[in-house]
Amino acid sequence: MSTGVQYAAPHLNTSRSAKGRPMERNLLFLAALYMLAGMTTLYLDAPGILAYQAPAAGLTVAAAFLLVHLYWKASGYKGDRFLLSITAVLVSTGLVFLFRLDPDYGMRQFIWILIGLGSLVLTTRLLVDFRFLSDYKYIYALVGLIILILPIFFGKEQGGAKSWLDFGLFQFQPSEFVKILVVLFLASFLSENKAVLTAGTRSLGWISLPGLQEWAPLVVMWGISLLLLVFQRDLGTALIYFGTFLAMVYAATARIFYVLFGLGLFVSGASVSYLLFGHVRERVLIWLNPWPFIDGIGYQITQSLFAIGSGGILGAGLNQGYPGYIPVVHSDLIFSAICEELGLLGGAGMIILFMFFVFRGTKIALHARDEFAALAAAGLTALLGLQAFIIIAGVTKLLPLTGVTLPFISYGGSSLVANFILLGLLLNISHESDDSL
Amino acid sequence: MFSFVLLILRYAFLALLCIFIIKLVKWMFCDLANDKALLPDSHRKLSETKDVKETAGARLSVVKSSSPDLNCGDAFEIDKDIVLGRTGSSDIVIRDTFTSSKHARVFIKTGHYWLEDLGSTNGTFLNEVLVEQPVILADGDMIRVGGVTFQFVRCGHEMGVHN
Repeated sequence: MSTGVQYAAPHLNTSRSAKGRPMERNLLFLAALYMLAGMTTLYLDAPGILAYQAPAAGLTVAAAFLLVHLYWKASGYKGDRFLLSITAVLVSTGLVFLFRLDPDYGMRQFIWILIGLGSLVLTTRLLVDFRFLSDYKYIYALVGLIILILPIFFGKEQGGAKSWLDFGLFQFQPSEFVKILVVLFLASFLSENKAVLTAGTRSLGWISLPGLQEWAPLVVMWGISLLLLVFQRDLGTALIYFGTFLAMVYAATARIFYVLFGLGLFVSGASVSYLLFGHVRERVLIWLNPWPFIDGIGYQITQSLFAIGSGGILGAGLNQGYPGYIPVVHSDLIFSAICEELGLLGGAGMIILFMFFVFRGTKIALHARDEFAALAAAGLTALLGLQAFIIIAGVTKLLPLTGVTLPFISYGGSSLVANFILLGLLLNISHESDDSL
Repeated sequence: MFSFVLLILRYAFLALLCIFIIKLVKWMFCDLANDKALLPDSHRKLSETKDVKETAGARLSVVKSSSPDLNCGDAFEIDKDIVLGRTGSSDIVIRDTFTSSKHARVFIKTGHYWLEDLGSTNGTFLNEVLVEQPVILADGDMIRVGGVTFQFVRCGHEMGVHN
């Protein structure tokens, strides 16, 4: 690289210095107030059961977020200014609702949030130089596959999906972490083979296709992960993997043909699994019309719809609804509880926050220094956005309900920690690329 | 009284969520406005460089060759993105055992000519330095692909440098 012009010219935009993060501080204070208002309500409403746990946990989490902010300020970290506060509000909402639904889950979620924040700080500290991650792509593919296979043999079935590893003390859902590995693998692979995939070396009629060499590893990776997920019956995760895969291929090549081809594959795969698997047929049946099955398989989705409907515009008010009737309300269906008690305003608020998250992520991808960073940012953003979309669409009956967690809000240690690591990687990419972000 | 306080708190929870979102929108809007302030400038720069691209051409001329198909002095105009490689579908076909089937490409972006290695086995060299990520080509640069060396010539500069 001694000759020619360097690929990435240093950014001129250093006038807005990276030292202070006043915006982030103000927003975090607001998030802390929000959390405290919720926790105080819960405390005053039922002091006997909750004791001091809820307000204490709320205060600790708010303080932990501020500490992360202060640490970044002190160390001159230049990651995105908005993502941490958006995450803080999402996490606060989740924690308040978990304490409201079941203080036991609330306490455990509280500990997981602290572990998650710890892993966020570690990610932004140890992986600041994330570029070395692109060197080990086949190792990711291998490790990812092994981790995915493990639950099939040693796994424990929960809610129809056999995707959990039981360690006695705690349970662990590997597919949450494999998602990140898959994105890193794809980003590395696609950035290396982007030119060939875009231009194509064979032509099929009017469409030029790349050769088998470039195309095969992708298809194999995709096929194996989908097959595994079908065997684990984890349909929601399969959908997220596939959507992220298509989004990244499109981001890398800008060729709509790949998306159409992928959608074709998806439709055929969906029809085949509809014909082959009973549990898939069941899901579609209760999606199209759950009302005849209200006493059985349709109970969950109908209760979710009742809850959302009874919320109205302003909601029943925190602790005033009856979300306890919804099965697994603490995890996958927490969005229905939020809609019931905070109404349309609160539900739309959550969706808007996720949209902002995706917006910032897309911006990070556009500003990234090179292809690997851009593709990784796009993939991680697509991953989180799709996951939020699929579960929100599921509980509102826009799509068939599949069991995935609502990022940062639902109860679940693996999901929470994995999402904090994802956030850390996004922040590292923005840290490297631009001071102004 | 107590229940009244509770009612207020309950709606304060929702109200604070809305206030947070409104603040967030406001800050993000400021952020975007700042970005916009930079936009017209960069826009102008792009269109300027586009003019340069349209007026000046460039070509690759062979200066050293181990391949029988390519002789010294052969020149290839670069009017679009071109691929160098061993397969027949490449724009410049190099029949050389050290060349990969899709070896490297030269493309035009933001008014510059860029050289990028397409993951070749033996590497692409610019002035005998391994190309690891896309680089901008300058007039007179030597590009080595396997046993063949090209010189990059920008026609706008040609009068002064050669002849």
